[in-house]
Amino acid sequence: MKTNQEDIKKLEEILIKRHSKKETVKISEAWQAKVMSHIRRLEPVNKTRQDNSLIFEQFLWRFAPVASALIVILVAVMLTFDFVSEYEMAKIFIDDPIEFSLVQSFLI
Amino acid sequence: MFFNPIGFPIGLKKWLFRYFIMDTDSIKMSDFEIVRRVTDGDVNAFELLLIKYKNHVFQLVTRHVPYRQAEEIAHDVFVRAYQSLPKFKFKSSFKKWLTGIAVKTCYDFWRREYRTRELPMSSLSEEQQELARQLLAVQSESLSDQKDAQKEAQELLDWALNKLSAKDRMVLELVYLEGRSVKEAAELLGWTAANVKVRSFRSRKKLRRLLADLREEYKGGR
Repeated sequence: MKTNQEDIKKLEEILIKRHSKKETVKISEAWQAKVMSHIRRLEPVNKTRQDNSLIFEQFLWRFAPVASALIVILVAVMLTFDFVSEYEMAKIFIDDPIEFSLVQSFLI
Repeated sequence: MFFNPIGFPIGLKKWLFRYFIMDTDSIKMSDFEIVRRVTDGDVNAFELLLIKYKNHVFQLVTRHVPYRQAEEIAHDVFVRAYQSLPKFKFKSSFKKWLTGIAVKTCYDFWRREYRTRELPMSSLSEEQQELARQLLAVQSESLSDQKDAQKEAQELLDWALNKLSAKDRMVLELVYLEGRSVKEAAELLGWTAANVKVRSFRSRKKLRRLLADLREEYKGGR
């Protein structure tokens, strides 16, 4: 029984080895010309994809770092604007801006 | 990337060059650009893909179909690839996509072949028994040195594979003989991983049974 299993295993190994060493066909120039002539005879492939989507896909990741940097800058700018807008809001409710700025400087 | 004593990152310059200059040029030759040109109507651009991937396709096809059919099947692979180009969404590399088409074309070849061929003989011929006997007498390590043994092994492999169905054959070749993962084989064939897993297990079992029968016949006939 054991010998039987060993023989089968050996045969399997031989077959796997043989499969990996299969010879590749040498490609002739004529073959390439034949394929291209067949393809030229076919209808041109339909343009189902829009060019814009292709361009978008191509440049999406290329501009990702730039977009990230822009986001950081915008956040920083918005934070600054936030401070100003608070000041502007306060100016509406408080009549005395000088007093407000004093309060603001002490962070009350 | 590393920094020089002056403080300017040396790798950064190279990286920026590659990222914004060199890479932009190489895009002109990329698969993406070629596919775009073909889908724009420039049929001749497809020849660039043909030149780039013909060796890969031939290598794959010759492992799955008979030697004399390889050219015809490789031809079909590229025609199918051309016709399917608008469906290619660049979710994977073009090479991987083309490999999938090649595997499916080989599978279709075997489906057609099995449909039209005569029923295989149930008993083993004397020739196959002789093949097994000769192979068992050869050490597997020395197989590469012996041309006759290689030929016999190929004949025996073809015989065993011909006994399997087209599905079993493809799965066995991809998973067992080529050593691809179940997931990869499933992607190439467009089947579920569970289906490939079950089928590869069963087809391997069938192959072992065939080899066991062959061995028994040989032992009995001796």
